[in-house]
Amino acid sequence: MTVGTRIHYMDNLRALAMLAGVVFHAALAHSPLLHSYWPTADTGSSEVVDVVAWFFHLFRMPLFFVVAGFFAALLVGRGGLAGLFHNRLARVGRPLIVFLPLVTISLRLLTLHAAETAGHPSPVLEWIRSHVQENGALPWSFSLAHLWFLWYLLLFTLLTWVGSTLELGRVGPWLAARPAWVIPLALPVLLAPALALVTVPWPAPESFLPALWALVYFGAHFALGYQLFHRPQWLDRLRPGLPAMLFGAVAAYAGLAWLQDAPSDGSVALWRHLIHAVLESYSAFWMTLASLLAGRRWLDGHSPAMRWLADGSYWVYLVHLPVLFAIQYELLDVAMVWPAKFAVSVAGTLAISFLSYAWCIRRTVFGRWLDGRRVTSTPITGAASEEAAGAPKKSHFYLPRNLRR
Amino acid sequence: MTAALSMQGVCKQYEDFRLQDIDLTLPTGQIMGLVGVNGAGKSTLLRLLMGLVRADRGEVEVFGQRLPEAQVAVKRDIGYASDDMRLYPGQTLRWHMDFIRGIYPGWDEAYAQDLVKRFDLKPQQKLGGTSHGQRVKALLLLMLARHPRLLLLDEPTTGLDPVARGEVLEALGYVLRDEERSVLFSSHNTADIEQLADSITFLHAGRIVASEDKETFLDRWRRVVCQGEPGDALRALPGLHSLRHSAPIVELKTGAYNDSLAATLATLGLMVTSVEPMSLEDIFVTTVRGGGKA
Amino acid sequence: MSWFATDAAMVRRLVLKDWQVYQKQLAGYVAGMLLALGLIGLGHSWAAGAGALLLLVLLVVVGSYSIQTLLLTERKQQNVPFIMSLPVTPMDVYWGKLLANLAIYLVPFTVVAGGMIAMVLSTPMPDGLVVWTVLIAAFLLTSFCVLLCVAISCSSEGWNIFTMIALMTLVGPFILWVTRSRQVGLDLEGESLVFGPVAIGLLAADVLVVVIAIGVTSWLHARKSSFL
Repeated sequence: MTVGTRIHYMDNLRALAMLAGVVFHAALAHSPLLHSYWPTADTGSSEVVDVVAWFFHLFRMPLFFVVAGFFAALLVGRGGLAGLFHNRLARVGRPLIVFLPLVTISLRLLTLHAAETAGHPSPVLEWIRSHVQENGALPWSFSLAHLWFLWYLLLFTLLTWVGSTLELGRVGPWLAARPAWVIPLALPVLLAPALALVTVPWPAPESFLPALWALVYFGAHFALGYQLFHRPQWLDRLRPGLPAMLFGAVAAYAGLAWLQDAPSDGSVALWRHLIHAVLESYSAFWMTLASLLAGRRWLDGHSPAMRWLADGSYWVYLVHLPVLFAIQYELLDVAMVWPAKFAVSVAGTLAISFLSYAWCIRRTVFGRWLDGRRVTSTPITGAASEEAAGAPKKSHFYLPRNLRR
Repeated sequence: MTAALSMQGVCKQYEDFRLQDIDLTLPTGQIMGLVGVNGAGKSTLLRLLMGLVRADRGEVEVFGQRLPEAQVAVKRDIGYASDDMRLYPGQTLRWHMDFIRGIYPGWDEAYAQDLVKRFDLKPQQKLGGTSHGQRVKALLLLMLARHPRLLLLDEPTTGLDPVARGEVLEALGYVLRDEERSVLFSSHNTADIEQLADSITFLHAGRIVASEDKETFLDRWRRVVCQGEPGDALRALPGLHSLRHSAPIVELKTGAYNDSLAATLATLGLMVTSVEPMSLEDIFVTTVRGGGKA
Repeated sequence: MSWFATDAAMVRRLVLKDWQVYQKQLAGYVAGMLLALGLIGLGHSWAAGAGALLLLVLLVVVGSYSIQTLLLTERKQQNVPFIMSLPVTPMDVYWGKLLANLAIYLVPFTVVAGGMIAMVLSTPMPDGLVVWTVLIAAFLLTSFCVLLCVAISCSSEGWNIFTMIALMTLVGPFILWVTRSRQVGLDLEGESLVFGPVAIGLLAADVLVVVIAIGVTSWLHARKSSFL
């Protein structure tokens, strides 16, 4: 694939993966699985949430890292490794430095306020309330929160340099020469040990200390995306297997859900955990591939609406968690059925985040700072492709998002 | 004509070797061949001209600038290659080309590409995996593609097979068409020097024993075969370097041949049967065996 | 006699050149360091121990191998005449070598030392461990600087290997001494971060040794008016 080609489906898939994260985080308030651990856990919950939300969560981040690897290869193609580093530091490192303190401080303030005032506090809020009452204050616990993906994008940028210097890319042609089914069948098994290092479903690697499982697991997806840029035809070879992968992914997830509910004893715990990891790995990987195939099939065209969503999704994802927590903390004491609360929290978070993007970010200095290029209402058709293909820069044209992040 | 380089009364003392009383001038546009056995001082002389070594006594100037004080400015205009110089084996030729291009503004990429083709080099191949000949050619490419005004070449063709040697000499010959470019090169291979040089300098045991125009130099050397009996007067003949007697044949090699030599020999009782010109190699060997007086 | 390089841009090129020559090994070490940090992050004491040990080994190895590759191997491979033929002075090459090696070492060193300190401060581990970490990191950095200065000043491979081995053998006993010695005044289990007089004295000694080593090496090179 050439560096000047506009790649709509990747841009759109990335946006969907990010927006799915907003929905997922909102759903966690109604997840029985996380009821004891999630700060906004509501009294209203349903196992349906666990089944559906965790299913999407399984592949949204792997998919995101495939897309990230794809665009990393594109950036290397445009400006070499130096270009990649420059771009990542500006588009990923800088937002991480700025937003991390803002997000963590606002989440802490919101949570402390909710712990103090909520009439129906979640177990976490109850614990905080009693801890503050006993000790006077809540200790700081350092976390990357939902911005952990930015940290890992930086680490994978560093590993791109490592891989390029050590010439690991040579494995790409070798793998591409194997039958198409080899990677879908073999890679999940190879990645399962990484997933077995953590709980099923996998937790967010929120520590600054790199989590080995996340480096291996998401790193493999990043590498796959990187190779996919150079060998897009590999995806085409997988197309006949799409129905089988979809069926297999759902079956593996069903097996996982069934095993999770089955009773266990100590002697088989390790084996059971490994089997969980294998099923999780297959389900996630096949859904990731299915998403890529579906995206290539149905999302590869230009749509102004999708384009607008794609443009705003980065800002929305960066800021959504404090907004979501603020809404859900308020909803704790509202008498409403959980689906309604869920709908309100999702709609409210998306509305506030997107409106703030439209009014305060998109055409302002903040937008330029975040995306690196001024956005105007100039029609995008043609211009973006022209510039991406290396034509002389015009002052107000769009640069495709996929080239910017 | 201004001198590309000049050395006046230069001495350099090492523990077991002494370069002494070196007076040498290379006019701009001239090609000088430096001949001498191993340890004669050729490399030391070239290092003095690069400013890598400071002379104990005397003056070294290149393009009118004193060395080693002006070594940075002077080295921008010198292309230096020695047989003990190696490129980085873990890096490609392209990497080396980019490195040199960043240093010398006069880098000529088109000429470099031309040399890549002519030398049959692979820019993306790591130099560690190439032959010695390829590495020497890569080194010469890096030097030539920046068009230095003065080339100092210390045994540039040593270790090359005949084909590679021919390619290198051909490239050098092409470069040397530029009359503004001066070259001083040392070689064991006197045929190279005979082929390329305008003038020849003989270095022996740290001293210059001869330095003059190639044609003149070769012109005064002859192998003379006579018949007769050699006497003491013959052995005292000026310029005589070698005398062999296998009665009744006498073979002598002289570095002071002139048209009157036959008559002189006749007065000494010798009848000249043949007079042959000598190759530079023959002169070199004769000079060294004769104790270094050319 | 000048102590400075004549051309800063040329020194930068030489540093970049060394960085590129050493890049492959450095990439391997960076991957190793991420693996070590990942092991520490696993949350098991055995993995944390293995990770910390791997980090320590990698830091020592990064330093000694950069010196090995950029100085000793370069001499052995006869790359030095190539560098000398460039428009550079001996001081340009000296500063290029010193800064290249320091940069190559300081990048992973800062990541590892900074990461360790950040980890101690951001986790329930006692903050007193920061002093211990700083002392050991400073000792490693000092050892590296001394080794680097010896390698730049002395072309004898034997002396360089001797210095390398001597300094490496000191690392273990120093860690043991700092860990066990009450004289250092360390409170490894303590929650407060206090640098006692002995710890400050050790750090001052490190700084002094580094300054002397670099000062003497620079003086030796400044006296040279030509390369050979």
